[in-house]
Amino acid sequence: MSLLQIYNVSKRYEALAVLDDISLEIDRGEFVCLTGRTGSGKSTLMRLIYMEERPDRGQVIVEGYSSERIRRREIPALRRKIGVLFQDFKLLRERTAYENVSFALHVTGTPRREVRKRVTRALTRVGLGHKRDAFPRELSGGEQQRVALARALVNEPILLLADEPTGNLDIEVGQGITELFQQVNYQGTAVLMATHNLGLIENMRIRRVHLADGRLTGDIESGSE
Amino acid sequence: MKLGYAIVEAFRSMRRVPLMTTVAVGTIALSLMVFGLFLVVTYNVREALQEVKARVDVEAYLDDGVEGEALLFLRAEIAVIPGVESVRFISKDQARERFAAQYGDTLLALLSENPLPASLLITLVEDQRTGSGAEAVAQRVIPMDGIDEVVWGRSWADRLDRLILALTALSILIGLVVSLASVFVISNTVKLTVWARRDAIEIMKLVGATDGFVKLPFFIEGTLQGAAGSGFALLILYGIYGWVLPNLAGLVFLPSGVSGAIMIMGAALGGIGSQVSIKQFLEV
Ligand SMILES: Nc1ncnc2c1ncn2[C@@H]1O[C@H](COP(=O)(O)OP(=O)(O)O)[C@@H](O)[C@H]1O
Ligand SMILES: [Mg+2]
Repeated sequence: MSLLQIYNVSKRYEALAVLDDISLEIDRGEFVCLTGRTGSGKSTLMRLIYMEERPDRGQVIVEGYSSERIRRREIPALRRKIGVLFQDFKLLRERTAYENVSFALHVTGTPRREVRKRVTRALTRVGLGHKRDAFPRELSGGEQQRVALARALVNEPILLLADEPTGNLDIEVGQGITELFQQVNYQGTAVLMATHNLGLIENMRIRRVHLADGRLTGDIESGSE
Repeated sequence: MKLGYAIVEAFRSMRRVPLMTTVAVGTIALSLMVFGLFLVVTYNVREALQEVKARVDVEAYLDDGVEGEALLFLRAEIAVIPGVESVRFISKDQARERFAAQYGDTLLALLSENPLPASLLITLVEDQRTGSGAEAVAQRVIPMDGIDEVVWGRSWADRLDRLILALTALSILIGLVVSLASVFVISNTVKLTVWARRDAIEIMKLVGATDGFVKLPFFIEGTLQGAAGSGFALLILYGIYGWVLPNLAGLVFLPSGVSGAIMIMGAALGGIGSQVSIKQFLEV
């Protein structure tokens, strides 16, 4: 069974139909890029996947958790299997890189002696082992996004959702981040990355889906001539 | 450990809004102090009245002209009633002096004759100094020959009981008002810290913290503020007590059980207050 199944999902905000009868499956270890103009509903789709919102019609199933049946108290267990990244990083300003990452472990009740080991490993994985004591304001945008990535990875998710992760970054910095995603993907984590920056993924051999007018189109493998 | 981290987080969030936290602790300290002050007063009035009540005695007014053997016989007859400790004779002249000492003698001077009757003042043994004890003795004295009228402390003993009841009720009322005020103040402070920490809450939910874990630091925060407030209240009360004591001999502080109860009450009010705003803000 695939990791993520979206069946005939529709979602509207009052009069605005954002998603209209969308279906999508993602397998374990896949790398999928979700493109679409601003306002096309990419973030809405992401929120449906980590079950911040429920679809009006259709069903979202992640790791056996169905949007139709999941209970409120089961959502934390689901979220621990999903890492989420945003354009604005969402780091806590008054905490160091290390504390931002360890936060995710502490609040999910990880035993203290495990925390240090895992945080260190996650920071090293994104190449920030040496900046562990820096506060977000002391880090560049790319470094901040890498701290956010370390936080997203520290619970060893099976799916990484990245919602325009490079939107605030220079092209080269964004490319660095995308390369990190690929490494993460090689190590087995499925990745769904939303972007409206087509140049960024031009040369990547990944699956692409395109969102326009509430519909998913162009589910194609590309870059693999 | 879960609880340890939640406590650290609680302090973190109080540091985010130091002024509001101080105001909350101060307000709770003040209102619990008022409450405690009232308890001290009620408690002391109660003790004092209990002591006054202990002086309940019976006075039997004599018919005019009871004297000599008749008087001796009456005294002996009363002295053997169970519950009577002693019987003292108060002559008409003594009664007049007693009246004059209490109310002045202008009124008596207007009268040609002393209208006050002689009486027998009956002191009760210690465990009979109650409304019912006095009544039992009085009922046996009333039918005796030479007795005009018997008065005893029942009516004013009852009145004292009512006063104590009223004071206690007032304390409970003040306690209720103070409780509501504390819950209100703490819920507002916690509301503010929830707001100040909305970004951290968002991350917690995103990375899969349970609702319980998201709420725990705020619950701890409220409880700590309540406990701190009641701690200060007790300190201030104790200070006032130490300062007033030399001027008011016999004043007693709250029994330690009541101090403990105030402490627990503060912490509980804080916990409840935090739940109010958590319910409002964290649940959708
Ligand atoms: N909570 C909301 N309430 C009302 N409208 C919303 C809400 N969230 C998104 N929208 C609207 O839905 C559309 C899709 O938004 P979004 O999913 O954020 O698109 P994208 O991420 O592709 O830019 C937009 O028109 C946006 O204004
Ligand atoms: Mg978006």
